[in-house]
Amino acid sequence: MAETVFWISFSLVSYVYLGYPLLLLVWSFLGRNAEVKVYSEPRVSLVIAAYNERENIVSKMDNCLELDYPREKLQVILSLDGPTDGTDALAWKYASCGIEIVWSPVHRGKAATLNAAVAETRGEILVFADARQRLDPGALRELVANFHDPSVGGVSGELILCDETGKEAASGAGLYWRYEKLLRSRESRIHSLLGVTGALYAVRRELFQALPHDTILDDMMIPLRIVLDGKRVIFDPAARAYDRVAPAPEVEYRRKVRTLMGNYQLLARMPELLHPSRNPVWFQFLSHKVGRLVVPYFLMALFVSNLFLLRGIYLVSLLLQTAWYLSALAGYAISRGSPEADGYQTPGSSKEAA
Amino acid sequence: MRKILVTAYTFVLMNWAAVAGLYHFARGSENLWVKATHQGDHR
Repeated sequence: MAETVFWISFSLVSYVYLGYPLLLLVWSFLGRNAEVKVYSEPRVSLVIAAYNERENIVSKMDNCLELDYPREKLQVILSLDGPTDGTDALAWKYASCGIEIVWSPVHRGKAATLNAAVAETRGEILVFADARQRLDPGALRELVANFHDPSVGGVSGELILCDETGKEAASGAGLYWRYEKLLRSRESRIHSLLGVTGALYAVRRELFQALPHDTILDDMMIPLRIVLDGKRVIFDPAARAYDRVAPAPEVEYRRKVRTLMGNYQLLARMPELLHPSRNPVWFQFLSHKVGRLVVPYFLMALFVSNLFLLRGIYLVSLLLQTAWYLSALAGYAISRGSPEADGYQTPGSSKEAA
Repeated sequence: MRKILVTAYTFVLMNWAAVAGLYHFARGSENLWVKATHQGDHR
């Protein structure tokens, strides 16, 4: 019994973290979709939803004004969700620069804020961005060039997480994010992404459907709806946004809880995602997203079943697992010792952790 | 060495987040949803 549980758990965990990425690597070379970018200048609406973003809003608005895209073709909409920290007072100053402000007197949530903004858009292409991250000046051009292909319904930009030196982070949460981006780029080559980066993504206006107001993951629901409608959602690493990597794993953990909670909500709201004939990326969704939801339980099963198997290869496995978890414990101690673990707040965030 | 330890901790924490995510979802933590939507999360 313990052996069966051990090997099932081992196989599943190995598949999700190693087997699936390797499969993607081979698959993406065999069934590669050629992406052809043609640079053009359709009308674009850039939508930014913001709540209490006092610390970021000025730099974000300046960043929007610096984008390399013809002003007459670019509509920038800042949708304010009843801010209480003075974000609106700062934002209104930019109305004279051509930035359109959609303002709600009450806090309704991001999905409602996006819906209100999209109702005001005039562009053929909608670009969504968050308030915190800085966009590369050429990011819009790069995103838009992908829509030359009529099969493309959405495009995700690349979010680069930088460490304190300004270089792309390569450890802890930064390493985890790099691994995620590797999977995304391969999934994009095969067919579509399963989610986009909320920091920067674009969709065709006609494919956008209003979001339920309590939607947690707009950056998964919007692209997955597009994929279910038969279009592709791809990844373009040339369209870049930059952010600071979370300085402590606990900060990343709070984001991750929200993201994974959003995955459960998505499964409840869009059960067709689990239907192979309805979802063109069913296999990828199951392997990547559902796999991540179930892996923790199988990790626990792997360790517990291993306690009943103390011979040969099983003993080696138990020692390796124990060493891994002790390392994690030591990592926890190091992390608790760093000042960022408790004190860090995402600049301009609502300061309310998930 | 520090990087390895922090990476191990991050890995365990990210997996634990799936359990916590299910807990919050099952509890129907709607207030948390609304508050969290403006975290500027990008994943």
